[in-house]
Amino acid sequence: MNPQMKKIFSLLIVLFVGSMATSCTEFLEEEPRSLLTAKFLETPSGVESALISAYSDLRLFYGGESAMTLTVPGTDEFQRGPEGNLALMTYDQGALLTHGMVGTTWNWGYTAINTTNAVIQFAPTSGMSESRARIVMGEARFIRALWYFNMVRKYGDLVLNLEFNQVPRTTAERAPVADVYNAIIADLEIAKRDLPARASEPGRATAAAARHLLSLVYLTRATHPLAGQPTDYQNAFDNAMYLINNAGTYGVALLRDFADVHRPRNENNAEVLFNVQRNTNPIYNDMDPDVAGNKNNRSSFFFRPNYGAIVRGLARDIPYGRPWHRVRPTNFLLEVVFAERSDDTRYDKTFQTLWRVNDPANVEVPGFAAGDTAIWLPGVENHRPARALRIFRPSEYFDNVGAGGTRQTLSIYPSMRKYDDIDRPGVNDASVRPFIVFRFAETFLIAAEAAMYLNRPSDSRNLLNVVRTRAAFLAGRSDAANAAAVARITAATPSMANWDEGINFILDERSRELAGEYMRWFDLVRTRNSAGVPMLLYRLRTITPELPGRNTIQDHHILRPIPQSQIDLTTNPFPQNPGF
Amino acid sequence: MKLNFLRKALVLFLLAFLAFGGQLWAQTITVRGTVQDQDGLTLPGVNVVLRGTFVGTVTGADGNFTINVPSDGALEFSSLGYRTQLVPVEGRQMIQVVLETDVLGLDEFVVVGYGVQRKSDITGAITSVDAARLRDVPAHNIIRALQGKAAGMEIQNISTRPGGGSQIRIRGERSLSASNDPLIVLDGIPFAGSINDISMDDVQSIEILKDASATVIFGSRGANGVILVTTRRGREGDLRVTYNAFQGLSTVARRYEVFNAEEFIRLRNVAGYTNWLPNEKESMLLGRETDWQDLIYQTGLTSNHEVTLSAGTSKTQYSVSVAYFNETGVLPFMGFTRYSLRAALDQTIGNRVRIGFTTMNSFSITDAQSANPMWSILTFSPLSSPYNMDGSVNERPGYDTEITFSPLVLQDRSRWNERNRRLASFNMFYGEVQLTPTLVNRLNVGVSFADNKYNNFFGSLTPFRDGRENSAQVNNNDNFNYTVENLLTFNQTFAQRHRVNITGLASVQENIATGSRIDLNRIPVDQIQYNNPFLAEIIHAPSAGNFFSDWRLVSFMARANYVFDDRYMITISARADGSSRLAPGNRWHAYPAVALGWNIMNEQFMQNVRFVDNLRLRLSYGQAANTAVSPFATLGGLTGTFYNFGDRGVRGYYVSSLPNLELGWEHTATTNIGLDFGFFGGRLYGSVDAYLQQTSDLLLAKQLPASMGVPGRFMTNVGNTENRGLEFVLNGVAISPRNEGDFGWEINANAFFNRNRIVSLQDPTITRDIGNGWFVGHPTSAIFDFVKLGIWQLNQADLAAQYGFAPGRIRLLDFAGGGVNGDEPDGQITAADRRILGSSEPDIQGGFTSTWRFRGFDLSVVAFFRLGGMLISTLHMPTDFLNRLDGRRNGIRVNYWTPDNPTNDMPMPHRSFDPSFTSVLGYFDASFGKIRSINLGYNINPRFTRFLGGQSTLRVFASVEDPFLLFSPFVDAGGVNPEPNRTGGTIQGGEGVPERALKVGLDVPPTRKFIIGFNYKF
Repeated sequence: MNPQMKKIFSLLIVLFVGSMATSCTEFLEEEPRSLLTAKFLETPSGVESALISAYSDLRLFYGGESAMTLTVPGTDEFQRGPEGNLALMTYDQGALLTHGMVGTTWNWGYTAINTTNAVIQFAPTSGMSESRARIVMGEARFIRALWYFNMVRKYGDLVLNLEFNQVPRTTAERAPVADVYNAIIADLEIAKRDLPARASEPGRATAAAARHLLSLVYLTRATHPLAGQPTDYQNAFDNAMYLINNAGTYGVALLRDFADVHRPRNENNAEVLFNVQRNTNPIYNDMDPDVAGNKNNRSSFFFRPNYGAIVRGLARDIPYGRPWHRVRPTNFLLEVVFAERSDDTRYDKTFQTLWRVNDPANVEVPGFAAGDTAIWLPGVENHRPARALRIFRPSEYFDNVGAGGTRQTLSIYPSMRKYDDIDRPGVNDASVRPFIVFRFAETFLIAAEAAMYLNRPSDSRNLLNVVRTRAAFLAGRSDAANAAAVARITAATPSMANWDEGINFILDERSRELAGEYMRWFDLVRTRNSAGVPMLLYRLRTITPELPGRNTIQDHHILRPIPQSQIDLTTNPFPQNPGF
Repeated sequence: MKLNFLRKALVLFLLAFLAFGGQLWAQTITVRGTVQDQDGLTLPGVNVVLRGTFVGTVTGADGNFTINVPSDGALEFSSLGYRTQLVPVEGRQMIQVVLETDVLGLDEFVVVGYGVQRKSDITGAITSVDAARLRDVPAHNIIRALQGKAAGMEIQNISTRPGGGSQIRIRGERSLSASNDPLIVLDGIPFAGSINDISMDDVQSIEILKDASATVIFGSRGANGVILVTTRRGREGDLRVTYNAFQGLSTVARRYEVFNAEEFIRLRNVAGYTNWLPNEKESMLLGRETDWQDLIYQTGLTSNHEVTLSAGTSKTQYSVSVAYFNETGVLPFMGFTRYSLRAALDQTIGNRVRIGFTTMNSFSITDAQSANPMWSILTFSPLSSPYNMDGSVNERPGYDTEITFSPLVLQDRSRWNERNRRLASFNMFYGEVQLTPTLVNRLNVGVSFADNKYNNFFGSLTPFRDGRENSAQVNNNDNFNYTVENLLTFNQTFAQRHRVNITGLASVQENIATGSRIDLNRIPVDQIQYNNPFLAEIIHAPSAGNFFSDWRLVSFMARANYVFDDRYMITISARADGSSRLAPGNRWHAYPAVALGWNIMNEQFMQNVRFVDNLRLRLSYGQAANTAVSPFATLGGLTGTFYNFGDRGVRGYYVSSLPNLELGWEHTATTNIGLDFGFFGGRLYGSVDAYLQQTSDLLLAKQLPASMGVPGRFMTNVGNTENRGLEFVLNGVAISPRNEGDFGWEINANAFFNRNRIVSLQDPTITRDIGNGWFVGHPTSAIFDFVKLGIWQLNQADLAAQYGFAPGRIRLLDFAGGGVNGDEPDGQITAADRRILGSSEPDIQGGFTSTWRFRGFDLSVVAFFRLGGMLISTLHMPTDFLNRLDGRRNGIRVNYWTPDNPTNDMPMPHRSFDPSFTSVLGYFDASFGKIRSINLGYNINPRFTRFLGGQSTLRVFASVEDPFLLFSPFVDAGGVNPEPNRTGGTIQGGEGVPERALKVGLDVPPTRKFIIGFNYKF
């Protein structure tokens, strides 16, 4: 190499290395163009979108299978159906620990709570108007309180996150139930103050919903041995009564006919205080099981018996629904709670007991055509004669305590129809109906219960009778007949002066009104008899006809176990609930 | 800006390139001469090259050559089978050369990263596989063909479908969350494509770089090992044409064993299932039975054609090939087709400049790459009737209260379609300048682009949708990758005994990938399929499949190689990498490697040891690093959700993963010690390697406790893993042919094992992370679950009742939960009763190839085995809905418990299915051995093929791929294939199985292929 070349070569190397050094830093900068980061949540539209996401997460609970499995069966109302989870529904210790469904509320809840925390944290500084910020924060607080309330009732002491988590942490501490209730009540007091009386659009949380939830929270806290406060019953009563007395302001009212409350396409009716929205638009309704299975509203599947497998001529179709037969009513619910079925119209309005031939080509019995009765469940052993392909007396459709605990012979029983959905696009599709979370009828029951504890038996009785009066209404019956029914049904309400009689009556009345509405287990762990025994334990162990789980339920089952994954992933000791 | 930078870099490269292009030195003279062997016979075809240039010629038939060279140059004479000789010209015009025969072939060259090395100079752990050995297995890609052929390289076929993939692990797994896939380098450029893009016959050789000293120069991308693929190039000589072709049939090798009609009736009776359909009752009366697998399986066809043309002069060489591969599956409409076109050109310009390129293009079509109708094939009742009275397909033969479609409707192509079309182009350009006789500057530019168009359509009336509204997907993604590298290579021999090779490199790489996906529902007419999204009623862009990703890498590397007297070798390498994927401040990392080699055979004291041909000791230590996390992994992100307020649809976002502003490199330090040996004049040769790899600062996607409120994984650097292992390669010539055509027998065998374990997790006090399935002291693939003891028997009823079970249910081991420390039985089965059951790591694995030759015939058998380890069979778990034993549907034929059959295999059937603890039913011994292929070839005597062309050769062959399993406890227990066919997912009911664990699940059954073909050259 000649000297000139050497010079050029050296120069090139210097230039090359130099240019590399100055440009590398820039060259290695990332330019994410397909990613939203948490920064977005600090803007007005980010705050609104986080709020929407918090609403959307409620779909995980309301209408889902895990929430149903852990609130509806295993109680005095419903028990395991042919394809329900036997172990979970009968308090099998091992299954409660290992089954994924037990922990979903915990796992989903904290994600939703973190999202509400973002709303509450960023709304004031996001640049949105102060009035708008106050409302979105109120909605976020309502949702946060609802999750904490569901979780504290299920799991007891909770990790209490009230700030938006942005820094990963693997430690966690459980805060006492009392602290959790204080946080819930603080949130709802603010929500009650800041939220509008009426929703600007369906599904938005309102002051009425906040007030209703607050009264239920006080009523629940009152019986908690460590968190209960002496003023709780009064606060529960006052909040519920305020809502009842100012129903007009809030635009809420009891519907005249119980049958209309859960009628499809009527989910935003005046009695509904809060619901989880869905509609028929498949982009927004999370109906696709492959994309959003956990957010599907499958409530219409769980209560259906496998009607199509019983007789030929009855095929699975949209009105009759997809039979997942996860749960079925207990004998106690059918025979005791709903013993009165004429003055009280709610049995017929809650259960489907008649199926008509919809597949005439496959009928094997001559003379039956489309529309003729395929299956009839008269509900009594000595029924009047009727023309049907099959008639099942109560003793035929279940074998409650057979071999193995809860063996069932047939998948047929009265089918709870509050969630039936005629607007699903296909037979096997999930529901497109909003899920009713709170409704005004329950406000009366809450007030009645608080009044009983406050030793105001006549107030209690009167409040109960508001609900019972409505229950007696039957469209098509003469006014006089309805009035006579009202007279009889209200007269049957006890005095409410005796604690044990009163709470048992209220629990039965709640079943008649609210059966299957994702709350029974909560009601039974909340209430206590005069000896202080949680009604879940008391009722499961003493009620006749006998309930499944009678022999397996243990005292600690008034709580669910903390999901094992939380314990495994937490780096400091994280205590499991006692007994598990 | 980055573009500016690139432009600058490119200009500089080119300047450097041109500046040295036309330089001249010294006086040129014409040299003539003759080359002879030791016996005085003239040697034709010897390469005569001016040292340090590409100037050269070849001796003629009489061994004579003529060449114009500088008077102070040196000529290198090389020919296969002879030792290369360097002769300084020293002004002479006449040179006589005698080449010594090289019996051992030790001076073969091996491709290493950025260059070639004499095999005898190698210090790292490198396995070489040449094309001829690959061809024993006529597979659709080179990785499939490599299974069982390279020590230290674990290849698991993870699909039984046409065009199916494989998982490659070189010396085990290091990383828990980042990628463990090795880097594939195609003709020197990191390969950004799919292994299926490379046509088998285009491959010249494959080198597998295993230790850090060999991989370090590939830097971060090489931490998981490197596979160098070198494709064919043109050679000097007349036009050569090769035509390789084969045709084959594939059939189902092993069918799923399901209950037959009689057994199914018994199952239902035991389970208490009573809902018989009328046509099932009819079948029972008539003795009618349906074998659904018989009805649907078909014979697949495979064909492969490849034509290559190559020719060259001393200045220009080229090679062009076109190829076609097509395979159809054993299920309707499954298939894989590939068309490829490849060209390579090398051109010498003047004395010291050479340029060239390779372009490789392929278009491939994969049909039904994921559609899985197996569930409907296996679960229909053997008593139901597949056809109606009129002979038409009974579309819904099952339970008329459910909507479950017959797999036979899949034969109607209008109802479904799943197709991936991929166009891939890989291009490499190089320019090389001989700056001085010892210094070469080389510029490599690699540009590749691959475009995937994936579409599917599943009609409502198919088993895929079972009556739900139809669905379609339009998914397009592409990948653009460029690499620019500038290399300086210095090569000199001093005083005949000191050989020095120094390589320096600067490179940049960028990879940009984009994806867009639209999901469609309610397409009004099936015929439209996915072809017009506008016509669909529901159009939806899902979170998966829509992305933009961009990562960049800047690197500097240096390597020095010094060989003293052919006895002592040392290689020192260093590399610095900057990766855009890591957090600012942690992007750069430099890592060193050093390797030593000792050719013991060349020592004085070995001179008299006659039976040793080769003995070389290698020792290396080096570091590598891994950045294989997704771009933007440090930033965290939001996920979208949907909601509505009344009729108004709205979108929401929540935080699904958290940022890590400190994410840095994952490091692996490897120590390797190896011994190469050869004895008895080439009759026995091989190598032994032992290694220890220690990985620290693991890139780990950690799941946070749910109470954090962020469900997504969080990338962080914590923990350590370790791999240690031993690899053996042994090749032997059992019977050496005395003369051409005599009987000969050669055996190539390899065996290796790798012991992987997690050394520590995020914090020294944490010994297990059950949620993620990580346990300190155990392999990353550890399986953690309850211990199945068997089934509760009738005489254990009382004890069973204490545990809440009845005879016939699964019996688990209770060993913990009680006592003061919780380590005694507590009379109940709780989460504490789970333990490590094993892992999917085999004790040892390997393969062997045996080749016999006689006359024109050659016969080879390739075998592959794995011993030890556990496999996870979801077939036997309820996860695949095949082993529920509820009588509702048919399933895998298993030995279940009844009072009359007190087995410990499977629990008693019950019409109410209970999934509790059923994950324990799916763990099996993963050992297996199989014959990979049997290949019989015959080289037709050239006398008979002369009419086809002057120098033509024709070889015909027949082979069977995957002819049979030698042993497999899993297949004996009712599985069909011990090789996994799916990854990921947690197991329902069970816990602690890492998401990336390989599993055997319900998929297309394994196939066996019969092939005949020929190789024709003229």
